[in-house]
Amino acid sequence: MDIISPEGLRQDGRTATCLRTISCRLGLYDRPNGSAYIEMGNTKVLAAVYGPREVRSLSKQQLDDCVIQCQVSRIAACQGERVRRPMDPRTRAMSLQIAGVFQGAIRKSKYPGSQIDIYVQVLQADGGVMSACINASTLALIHAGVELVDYVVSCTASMYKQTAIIDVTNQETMNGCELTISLLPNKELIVSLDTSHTIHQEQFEPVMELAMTGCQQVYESMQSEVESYLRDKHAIMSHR
Amino acid sequence: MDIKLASELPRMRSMIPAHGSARPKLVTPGEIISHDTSFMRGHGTYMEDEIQVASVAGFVTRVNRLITVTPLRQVYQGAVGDTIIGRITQVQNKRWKVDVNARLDAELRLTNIQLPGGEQRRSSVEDEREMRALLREGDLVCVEVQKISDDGLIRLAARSTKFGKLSQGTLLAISPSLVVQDKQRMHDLPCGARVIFGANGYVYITPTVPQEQVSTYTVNFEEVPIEVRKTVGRLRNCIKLLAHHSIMISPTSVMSAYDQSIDQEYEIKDLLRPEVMQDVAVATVQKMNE
Repeated sequence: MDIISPEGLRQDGRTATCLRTISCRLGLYDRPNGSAYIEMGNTKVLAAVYGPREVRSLSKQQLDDCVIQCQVSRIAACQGERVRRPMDPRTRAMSLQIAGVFQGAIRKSKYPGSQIDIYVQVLQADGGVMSACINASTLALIHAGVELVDYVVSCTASMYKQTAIIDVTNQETMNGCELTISLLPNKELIVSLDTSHTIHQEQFEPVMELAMTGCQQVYESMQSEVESYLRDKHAIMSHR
Repeated sequence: MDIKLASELPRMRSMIPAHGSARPKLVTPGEIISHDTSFMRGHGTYMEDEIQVASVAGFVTRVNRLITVTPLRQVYQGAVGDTIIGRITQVQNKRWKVDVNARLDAELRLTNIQLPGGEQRRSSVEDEREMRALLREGDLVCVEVQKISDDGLIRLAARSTKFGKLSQGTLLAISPSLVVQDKQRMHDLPCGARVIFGANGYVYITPTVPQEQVSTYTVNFEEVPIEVRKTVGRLRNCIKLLAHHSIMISPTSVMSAYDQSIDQEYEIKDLLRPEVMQDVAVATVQKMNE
């Protein structure tokens, strides 16, 4: 089966450089300090942020630094095959990577001796899980009012034959490499770059360029959601 | 049984009254606020290459040359003199650790509380041993911020009869930015309950107690009549719905929501339903704007 049809369209009717529909929401729960939900096509992810709060385990506490922890879990029905355990070595690796990404984006000097916990739950996985997790965490952190240097937005891209394709689904990653890039959109700095497979050196550059333009589009839709949320929720009165 | 899915109601844009054209500027993290270097950077902003950038999402407020961005939700920052509510998390040597919804647990020293019996008694070795008898893990206390040390640790004090351990009641945690700044934090509302609006976003609702019983380190386990319990429950749900719709929490707004909920004959449990919450919130805003 062809990933791209002779007319230049992909399985779900997109062109090679077209993102899937993104919809996001802030503030789903009351209990965590911040929470968010993002849908990138069929990939659906929930994130909740607790903190900054007192460090729970004394061995981890650093007096001049902020501890950032992340935990990714998947629900049993998130992909085609039933997931036996919510957490396995792969999700643990993802958790570490997400925590690492936010080490660079959270203004840690503002929170010495504190801890910030990010809990991410994958409800449905259809390609680009890692980038959806990062985007959801960013939104949850913004909702929690944690000081960030910038948004962290993430997007994937891949190569099919000689065409670079953006925001790949599960099916499209089967016979290609999935490149996940996350960056600070306003500063255009790359925070993390990850490829799931080998990619030819000459193909790397166009794929990365494409993923970076994708990030900017993701940023626009995330930002417009944050703004509309704020306009709605802005404390209406300042009376006595 | 009435089961409902937690689906989202249409957003309430109409609730926000148009305050002329002077709407504050909205920024999100990473957005440039100004290129002008003469401004001072306040909370929620940072400087980079002589450019002032926002680090939280919120509205820009400018006081003279100081620019700050206030986010909708944030942990409690602390200000000296605030009356706040906290929960004891640890009992340590001569001090308690108190969760006050801040980025670090606050500290309450044994020397900073008014010991039972004796007005200005010095704390003795017995008191140190018996600290758990005064306050133990999980107890709620009403305290005052005495000092904020350089590393951001909040030091608390309870050297007055109005502070101390809280007895029977309900705690509600809301965002600190929604609580109206006020000198008076403890209010005996006309509906027969005492509400403490902690500046840290913790709101405590108790049945009204006679003055002579206020603040000791013993808890009154007397049974509360059902009517009073219903009032407490209704107040809690009213505050919850106001906070849910980001309406500032003050005695007036709470009482107004409470009266609205009684006027419209809503049951206490009805107040947790999304459409009723919205209904009461809209009615409250309209009443407050009159």
